Amino acid sequence: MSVIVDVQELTKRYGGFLAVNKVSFAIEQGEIFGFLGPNGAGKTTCLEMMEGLRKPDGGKVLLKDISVWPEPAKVKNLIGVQLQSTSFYEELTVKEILVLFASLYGRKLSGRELDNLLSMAGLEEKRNAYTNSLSGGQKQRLAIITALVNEPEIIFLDEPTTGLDPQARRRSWEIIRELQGKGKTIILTTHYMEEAENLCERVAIIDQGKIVAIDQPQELIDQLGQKAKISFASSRPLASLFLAELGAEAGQVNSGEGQIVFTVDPAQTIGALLEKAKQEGIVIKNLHVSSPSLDDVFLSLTGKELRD
Amino acid sequence: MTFWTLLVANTRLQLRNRSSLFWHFAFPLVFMVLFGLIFGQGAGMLNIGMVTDNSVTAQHFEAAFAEIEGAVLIQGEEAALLEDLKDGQIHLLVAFRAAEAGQPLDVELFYDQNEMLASGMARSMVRGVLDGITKAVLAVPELFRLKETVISTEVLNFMSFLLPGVIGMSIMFSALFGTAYPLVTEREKGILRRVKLTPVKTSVFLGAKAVGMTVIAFMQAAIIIATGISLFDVQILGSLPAAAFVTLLGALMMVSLGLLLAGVAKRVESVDSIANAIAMPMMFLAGTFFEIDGAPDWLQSVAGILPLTHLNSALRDILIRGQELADVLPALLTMVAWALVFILAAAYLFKWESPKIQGNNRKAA
Ligand SMILES: Nc1ncnc2c1ncn2[C@@H]1O[C@H](COP(=O)(O)OP(=O)(O)OP(=O)(O)O)[C@@H](O)[C@H]1O
Ligand SMILES: [Mg+2]
Repeated sequence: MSVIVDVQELTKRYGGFLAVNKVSFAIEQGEIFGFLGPNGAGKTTCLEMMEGLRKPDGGKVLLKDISVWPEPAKVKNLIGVQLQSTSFYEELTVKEILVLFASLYGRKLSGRELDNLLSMAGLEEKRNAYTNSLSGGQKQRLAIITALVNEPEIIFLDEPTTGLDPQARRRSWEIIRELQGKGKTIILTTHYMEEAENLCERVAIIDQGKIVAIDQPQELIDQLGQKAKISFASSRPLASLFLAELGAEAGQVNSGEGQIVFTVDPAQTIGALLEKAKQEGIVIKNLHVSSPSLDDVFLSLTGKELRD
Repeated sequence: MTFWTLLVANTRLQLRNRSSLFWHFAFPLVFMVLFGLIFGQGAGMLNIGMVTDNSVTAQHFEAAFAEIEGAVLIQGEEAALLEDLKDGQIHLLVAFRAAEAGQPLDVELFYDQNEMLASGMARSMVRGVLDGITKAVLAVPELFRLKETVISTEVLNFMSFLLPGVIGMSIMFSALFGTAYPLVTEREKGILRRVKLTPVKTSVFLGAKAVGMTVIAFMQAAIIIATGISLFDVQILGSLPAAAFVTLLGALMMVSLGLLLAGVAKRVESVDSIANAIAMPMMFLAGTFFEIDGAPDWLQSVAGILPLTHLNSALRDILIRGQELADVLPALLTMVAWALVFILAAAYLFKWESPKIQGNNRKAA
C-alpha cells in the first residue's frame, strides 16, 4: 500500500482564531477516510486546504507527492470535490450540468460515461430534469457524480449525507463503496457516528481544530477499554461521590439528560447501582446496557456529545 | 470546446429564465410600442413654430413634417412666434434665413431652457429631418443645382430617431444586469468556488459570458429593428453589417461594465441598486430619447463622455443617417477605450468567492 495523501502540521487561522491546529495524517491509496467532528470543528477548513481552495497558514499537503501549495492548479486533475454547500445552476438539467463540468476539465463525456455516472447515482430517470426539481438526496448524489467527471484519483466529499434520510444515506454509501472498488481514495466528513463506523476504514476525530484520535473505528472503541455503557435516568441526580462508590470498574460519567456510566464489569456495576439506589430511595428508570460506540469515544475524548 | 459548452450553457440560462427573457426582449418592445402610441397617434403633441424663407430646403422641411404624426408645424412671423414660444404655445421655433446663392442656409432654433423635455424631443425631430434633407441633397452629384433640384427626401419620423436609442439602451440594461446578476448569484451560491476547482481559465469562463451576452445583444437589435420597420415605418438608411459591428463593440463595452459591477457588488441585492444608479442617468443623458443640448454645459460635457452616448450616436449615425463606420470612428475608439478601462478594473476587482460565505453554509447541517 502506498501513501497517496500526506498532510503535515496543517494550520489555519481566521484572525486570532485557530480553526485548524497543526493537523498531520496520512492516507493510503484506496482508503475511505473519514473526518468525524461536531459543527465548527474545522473539518471543512481542513478539506478545503487540501483541495487548494483555502490557503493554509502553515504546514504541507502532498497529494501523490505533489505539493498542493503554493500551486493548487497542479492537483486539479487529480482530485474530485463535492463542497459542503452544494448548489447548481437551477435552470440546467442533470445531463447539462455533467456535460458542462466535464468540459471545464476539457473533457467530452461519451454517452456511456454519462450513462454510467447517472446509473451510479440512480439518476437515469432524472437525466433531463432541471436541477431545482431534484430532491435533497438526488442533489447530493448529483454533487458526488459531478465530482467524478474528470476521473479523479482522490475524491473529497464534504458531508455527503447530511440532511438525508437513512435510506438515502445508505444509497450514498453504496456509491462511495463502488468508488472504492474502482481504486479511488475517498476522504469524507460526517457528523454521523454510524456513517463513520460503517463506511470508513479509518476515522480521524477532530475537535476544536485538533485531531484527538485517529484509527480504525473498532480500534478506537476498543481503546476506550470499556466493555459496556450503562445509561439510565434517576429521580434525583447522583452525586459523583456516590457514583465513585459503584466500584473501581466504573468509568466516565455524564450527567446530561440522563446518566451514563462506563464499566468493564457491567454485572457488578449494575448490581451496585441498584442496591445503592434502593438504600437512598432513588428511583432508577430507563436502564440500558449497550456496547460503547464511536459516540462514546468522542464523549470520553472531548467531554462533549457528537451531536448537539 | 470548453468555451463552446460554456457559451451554450450561458445562453440556455439566459433564455430559460423568465425575468431575464422579459428584460432582454419584452422590455425594449414595450418601450417601442409605448413611444409609438404616444408619438404615433397623439397628433399635435409637439408644436413647432416655423419662419420660412421659401427656399427649397424649407419646403422639404415642411413636406417632411406633414408626414410626421407626433408634431404640428405652425408658420408665422418671427416676432409673434417668439411670443408663443415664451407663452409655451410652441415648443420650438425654427427660422430659415434666406442666404446668398451658393452659401449654406442659416437655420436658427429657438427654445425655452425650462421646457427641456419637450424642446429636446422637438429638436431631435427637427434635426433628424434636417439630416435627412442634407443626406438627400449630398447624394445629388451636381451641388450647384441644389435650389432647383426636386429632391425626394427620406423623411425621418420620431420613431426612426428613437430606434437606435432603444437598441443602445437595451444593450446597456441587458449587458449590465445579464452579466452582473448571474455572476454575483453564482458567487453567493458557491457555484464559482466549485468552478474554481476545475482547470478552466478565468478568461475562458468570463469570455463565454461576454460572448453569450453579445449574442443576446444581436438578437435584441434584430428584434427592435424588425419591429421598427414593420410597425412604425422606420427607415433604415445605413448598412446593417456596420450596425452589427457597432452593436458588437457596444455589447462588449457594456458587458465589461457588467463584469466590473460584478466585482464591485458584494451581494445580489446591491447589483440592482448599483446597476440602476449607473444605467438610469446614463439612459437620459446619452440622448436615448432626445438630444440634451438644452442642458447646462457642464452636464453636456458629462454626457459627452458617457459610454452609452457614443453607442447611441454611432448607431444613430449609421442606422438612420446612413453614415459609414469610418465616419463614426471617434465614437468607436471611445467605446474601445471604455471597454479597456472596464476590463482592467474588472480583472482587478473580480473575486471567485464572497468572503463571508466561504464554505460556511450551515443550511445543510
Ligand atoms: N471564512 C471564515 N472566516 C472566519 N471564520 C471561519 C471561516 N470559515 C470557518 N470559520 C470558523 O472556523 C471554524 C471551523 O469551521 P469549519 O467550517 O471548518 O467547521 P466544520 O467542522 O466543517 O463545521 P460543520 O460541521 O458545521 O461544517 C468555525 O468556528 C468557523 O466559524
Ligand atoms: Mg463543514
